[in-house]
Amino acid sequence: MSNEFSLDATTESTAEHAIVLRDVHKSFGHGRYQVFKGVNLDVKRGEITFVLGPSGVGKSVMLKHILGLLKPDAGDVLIFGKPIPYDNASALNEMRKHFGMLFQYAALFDDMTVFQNVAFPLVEHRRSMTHAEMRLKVSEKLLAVGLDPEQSLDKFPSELSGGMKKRVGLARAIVLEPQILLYDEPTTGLDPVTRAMVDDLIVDTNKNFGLTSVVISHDIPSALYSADHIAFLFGGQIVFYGTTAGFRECQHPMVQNFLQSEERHRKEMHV
Amino acid sequence: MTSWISSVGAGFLGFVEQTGQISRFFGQALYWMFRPPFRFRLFLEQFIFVANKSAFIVCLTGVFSGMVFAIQIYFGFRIINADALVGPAVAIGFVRELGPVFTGIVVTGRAGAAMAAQLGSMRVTEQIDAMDVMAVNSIQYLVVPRIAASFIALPLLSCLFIFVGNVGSYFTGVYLLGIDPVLFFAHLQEIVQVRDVTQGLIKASIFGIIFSTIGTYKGYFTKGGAEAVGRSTNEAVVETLVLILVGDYFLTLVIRAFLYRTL
Ligand SMILES: Nc1ncnc2c1ncn2[C@@H]1O[C@H](COP(=O)(O)OP(=O)(O)O)[C@@H](O)[C@H]1O
Ligand SMILES: [Mg+2]
Repeated sequence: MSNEFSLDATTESTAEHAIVLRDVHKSFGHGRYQVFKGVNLDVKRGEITFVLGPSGVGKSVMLKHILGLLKPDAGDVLIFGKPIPYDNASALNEMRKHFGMLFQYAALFDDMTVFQNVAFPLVEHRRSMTHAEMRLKVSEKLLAVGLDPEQSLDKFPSELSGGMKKRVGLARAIVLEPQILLYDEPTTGLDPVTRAMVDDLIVDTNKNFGLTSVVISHDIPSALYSADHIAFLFGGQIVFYGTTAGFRECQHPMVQNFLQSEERHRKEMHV
Repeated sequence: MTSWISSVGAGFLGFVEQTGQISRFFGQALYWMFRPPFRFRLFLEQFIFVANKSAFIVCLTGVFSGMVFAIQIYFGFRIINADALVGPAVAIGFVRELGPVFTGIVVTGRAGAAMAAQLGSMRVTEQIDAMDVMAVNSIQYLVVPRIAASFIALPLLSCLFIFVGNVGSYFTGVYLLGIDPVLFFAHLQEIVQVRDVTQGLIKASIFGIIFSTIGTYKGYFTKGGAEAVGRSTNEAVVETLVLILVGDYFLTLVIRAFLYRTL
């Protein structure tokens, strides 16, 4: 077994899927509470895949499986065709460097400035970089997510609006140039304007950096707007996987239910 | 009756389980302490934090404790005309027990509570998850510097407490109680020995490990929202205080068996 989790040219070119979940089972509380009963999902590289589902079905648990923060009771998780090296801390860390993640509330470090937050992965993993190089890199990423470096570098998270925090969190997520970007409920609890901004940010970032994106959400309009493929998680399994058009047509009762409550919600908002 | 017994049983099992978990957590911290990268800057920050946050209150409580113990011991010793032993008696009590224990209590309330609150709020806002996702070991980054800094800082703070305590005792003894200043510490060297100082320092270091391990453990494993942070902080303080006071008794027995070869 190799000690490092490396994504060399050969594995990259052969793996059509960035992430594969194969028959993943997971329970909590000594088997009492079964969250996954055989989850199967292929995330195609270069695409934006939305994983939708009602609250509490295990969307965040799925993200934790993809990052190797949780280990399946049974089944496999493959990243670019390679199984996650759970038992090798340094290989696991190596693997995680290929990921960027945007947390629901950005999860910025409160006691660090915007610069220190975005530079954090550089300080930790690019030890040969000079301060000036980091400043350049951080500014570049801040610009990429639509922030003015001059104005934001020295601010603390408490001085930022929710939307700006998301942008900084995204800049931090992409600063190591990851290949896969994960979003946990990026639009939940946001006002409509910020929501639209985040939708565009997801699409633009994916395109500009040639990434694979997985978005965990229960926001249907956002999924229909940004997704290449939608997966619907319910009852411990992926009950639907397909395009946005296919999702609208899907006859699964729970998907229908989900779509209809969204429809109703939108109508109520208009009267 | 049975429900009373079973709830005591459950409480005991919970206690045993938690003790196991905290020991494992400490073991992990120890494992990561001796693995690169060594985060000296973070250690220094935490050391300054612990020392800075507690130095003033350690001085304040130390000087008053010294003053009150001088008075109480004086009125006991005066009966047998042992005025000259008030200074050394206070000193040995401070060096062996009051220094480490009181400092442990004061620092728990300041730094231990702060550690639980800091890590707790980082946990509930997913900052700890973010760190792990960014391939930075959160135990090594957050927990190790706090435990290492406390292990070093508590004996030093304890020395500070002992020093100001004896200053307080001296001034009370001499100016309030009228003990001869030349006699006050005259017998100090016969009574306070090196092994007493060693005993105090060992205790203080262990209390440093205890308060920082429980504080970081409670914070690190906080579950829930903002109100859970308050609960973690509260539990950390209460459980640390109990462990320091109960543990001090057994620690004294163990240390005496090794350093004094006697009960
Ligand atoms: N570490 C854990 N231990 C026990 N139960 C958990 C754990 N993580 C998640 N769960 C449970 O799994 C279920 C799915 O949680 P989650 O993935 O957070 O749902 P969501 O789809 O809303 O993100 C919830 O019922 C939650 O209580
Ligand atoms: Mg969730």
